Parts: sequence; structure tokens; C-alpha cells
Amino acid sequence: MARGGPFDQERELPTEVLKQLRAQYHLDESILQQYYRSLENLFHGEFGPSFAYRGVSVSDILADALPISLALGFGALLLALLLGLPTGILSAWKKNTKTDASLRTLSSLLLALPNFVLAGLAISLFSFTLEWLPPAGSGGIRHQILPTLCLGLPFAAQIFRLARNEALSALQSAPTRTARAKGLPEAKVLQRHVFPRTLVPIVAFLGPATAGILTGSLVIEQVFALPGLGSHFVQSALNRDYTLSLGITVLYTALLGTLTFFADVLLARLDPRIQSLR
Amino acid sequence: MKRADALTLAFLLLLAGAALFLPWLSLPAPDTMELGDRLIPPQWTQHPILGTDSKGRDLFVRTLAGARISLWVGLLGSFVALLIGLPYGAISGLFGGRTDRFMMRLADFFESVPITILVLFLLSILGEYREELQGLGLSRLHIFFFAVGFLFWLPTARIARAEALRLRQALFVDAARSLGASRKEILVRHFFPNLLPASVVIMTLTIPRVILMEAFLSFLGLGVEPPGVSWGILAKEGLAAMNPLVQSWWLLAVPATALALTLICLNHWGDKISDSFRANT
Repeated sequence: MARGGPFDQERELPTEVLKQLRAQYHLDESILQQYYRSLENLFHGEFGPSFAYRGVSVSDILADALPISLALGFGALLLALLLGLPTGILSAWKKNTKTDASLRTLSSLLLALPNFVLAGLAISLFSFTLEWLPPAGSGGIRHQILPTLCLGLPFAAQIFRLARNEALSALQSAPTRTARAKGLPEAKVLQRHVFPRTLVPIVAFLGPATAGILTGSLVIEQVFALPGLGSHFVQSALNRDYTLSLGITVLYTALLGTLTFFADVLLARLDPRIQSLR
Repeated sequence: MKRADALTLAFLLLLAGAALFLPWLSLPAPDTMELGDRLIPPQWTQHPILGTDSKGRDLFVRTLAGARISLWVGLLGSFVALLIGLPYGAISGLFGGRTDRFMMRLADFFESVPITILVLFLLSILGEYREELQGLGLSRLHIFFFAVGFLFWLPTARIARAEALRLRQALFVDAARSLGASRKEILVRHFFPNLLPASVVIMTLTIPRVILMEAFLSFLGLGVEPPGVSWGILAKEGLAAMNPLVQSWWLLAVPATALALTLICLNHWGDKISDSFRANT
């Protein structure tokens, strides 16, 4: 559908060279043959050679890039959970106080900024002005902090909202009132009656959050010059590197499918009512 | 909370007014370059109040010009989404039965596709056919509206369907039906007018998301193109201009602040309107 081919360049290649290249990448076969070949390779976990990086197979690129993106993505998700959940419960518990108001303002601020703007502001503050952290590139744990923060914070704000809403209704529910009437300490009330309920909407949000983190990483990896899947995905689209593009899409789909599946299973375990809705 | 309402509304009205009447304000054009005045930091009280960029363009004027495009995109993009989603949901809810099931499963199908990626793909393909589209009188911005409408019609359709299901039970719809009104008449005369409040809620909730989407796509180079100015473009330029040697934080901070303030105000009113709407039903 997109015009042009992977070997279109400013300088035209001699016909023989082009012919050989096409033969090497099996582009001279019929569409059906090519389709069958790539399908067969796919079932063997092979995506074929990259069109843009000569002599490198797509699997190699994926093997290099996946750990970087996994570390970034899971780091961001973990950060979002660890920040969003406790603050959400705290905010609901201290409803209509200064703490609640400031946390809510912060969350709406984080939700109102695109992540690349957040990244830019963070770089300009922590890297250029305070010179605490490196602005880009990959390396040790210090290189991971800013990208993880910038990718995770908007989701922390989302989780905060979900947790606050659920905790508010949990705090007003009959079991909580009974527990309080029986003289259960506030900490125990939060632990037994509020915390488990807030998990339900958050686990349900994990699927969409994973999808959001995948698209978010496209931008964040570019800004911080991390050689992860996101950067490769954008590059492959620009280079018409079909095999790499396909490989990353398959990997993304598999990741998203797996995580959504686990989220659904977990959800049914957390809330027995969901299981009985068969 | 009353003060917050007034403040956010005043900000939005002021911004919309300034954006609307920008061509009539006696300000320089947003692409006027004063090459002698490059990278002046914000002066706050005198001439380049928000500073200038690396080509000597006044950032205050550019931010207002950006508001023009960003607000317009937000408004029109969500209107397109409404135009697709509202009739879809209303028809699905009114007809019910097999039609309803089919239409909603179709919506499920669209929802299962990661639509952000689909829109990226759509925009990049349509970008290649730009000349042909220009022959038809369609610019990049039109394509963008279409893509955004395509992206956001689903939630609109679901809300509209829920409303339609509620209206179907209403006494006056029953009365109309018993008087022999056709489905088309019920749809046009009873459903659409009663879906208006829901539409307002949908619009206020969609506009901020569309504005964010525009920023995201402009950053990737698929949204508004220079010399066009939007907040996404300004933020992108600000990010690109950042380096440790030359201080230029305001190039990113100014559009980011404008964007954040606008979205916070819009979200505030969106929540408020949908809360009052929920209280009524």
C-alpha cells in the first residue's frame, strides 16, 4: 500500500545488482510464494533478514532491543503502580484535605502533558541545569531513571485516579462501616477492606496501560536515544524495512496479548463475581 | 470550588478569544523573523514577553497562533467523532436485536485494533498520496480530522447507544410509536434532540484527548507541518532546540504550560458538565 520499495535510493542501482538483491530477499517470487515462505518462517520463529541493516537478521535485532524495552516498560509499569496506588488510597482517605487537593492537582497536571514534553522538561531540569542524570543514551541504571520516570508518571496519574475513585466508594461501603463500628484500627480497615477493592479496577486497567506504554515508548525511546523496540519500529517504518516492521508488530501483539490474558485471569481471581458471569 | 470554576472558564474564554481575533490584533505575524533578536529569554513585562526562538520569532505570538490550530483541531476533530459515533450508537440502540448485536460486534472489532498505530499508518500512507489529495482540495489537516474522527468515534458510539437504550423506554417515544411514527421519524424528532446533552458531555471529554493526540502526532512529524504552528509543533521545536550549551528552556516551557493549562481547564469543565449530567438522569 505504501509506495516504493526497500531498495529505492536516490542513486539508481544497475539492473543486475537489483535483480540479485531481489533474488536474495526472495522478492522475485510470486506474492503467494512469498506469503507462504514468510508464514512458514514465522512458525519457526524466524523473521528473515532485515532489509535495512545488511547481514543482520530480524531476530538478532529483536534479541538486542527486547531487553531494553522490557526493562523500560516494566520499570514504568511498576513505578506507576507503586506511586499511583498508595497515593490514591491516601487521597481518598484524606478526602477534601490539602493533601488530597494537591495530589489531585498533580495528577491532572501529569495527565495534561504529552510525555515528550514531560521528557523535555525533565532533561532540561535534571540533566542540563542540575546535571544529576545523563540526558540520553543507554548504559547503567542512571540512564534508565529519566526515561522510566517520564514513561511511567502519566500512568501513575491514571492509576491514582482509579485507586482514589474505588477507595472512596470502598470507604463508604457497609463492610467498612461495620469494621469501624467494631473498633477495627484504621490501618487494618484500609488493609482489609479498602486495598483489595482498589486492586480490581487497576488490574482491569493493566491491559490498556500496556498498550499505552507500548505507544508511549515509541516517543520516549526516541527522545532518550534508547535502542529499544520503539526506536527500531519508527526507523523500520521510515526505512521500509518490512521484515523488521513485521517482526516488531508480531512481538508487540504477543506481549500485549500475554499481558492482557494474565490481567484477565488475575481479575477473575480477585473478584469472584467476574468468574461467575459465564 | 466556585473560584476554580470562574478562573478556568475565564482562562478558556480569554484564550479562545485571543486565538479567534489574532489576525485583528496588531501583533507581528507568527513567522516574522527578527534575526537580530534570536533566543531572547522571556522579559515578562516588556516587548518579547515570552521571549523569542532561534529564528527570532516572537514566542507569545506563536503560542497564540498555536492555540488557533490546536483548539480548532480539538473542536473539529471531536465534532467529526461525534458525527460518526452519534448516529451509529443511536441507530444501534433504536433498532436493537440482531442489528444492535452486529453493530456493536463491529465496534468491538475496531476497538481491538491498536488504533494509534493504525492512525500512524494511515497518515503516513495518505502522506504519500498528498499531491493527488491536494487535487481533490484536501490538505494534511483534513486528513488529520478524518483520522481523529476515526480514532474517537467508538466511545462516542457507546455513550450514544446507552442513551438510546434509555430513550427507547421513554413514554413519549412509546406515544410516538403508537401514533404510527416510523423509526426514521423517531430517530430524527425524538432521539437526536434528546441526545444533545450527551453530545455536549462527549465533546468536552473528547476535545482534550484530541489536542493531546495532535501534539503526539506533530511530534512524530505526522500532524501539523511547519510553517503551520500548533502547540505540538512548538513543543517539538522546543525539544529539538534543547542542548546543554545554549539555554532555551522557555521554548519548551511556554507551549507546555499553555497546553497543560488549557487541558486542565477543559478537563475541569468536562468533569463538571458530565457530573451534573449524571445527576440529572
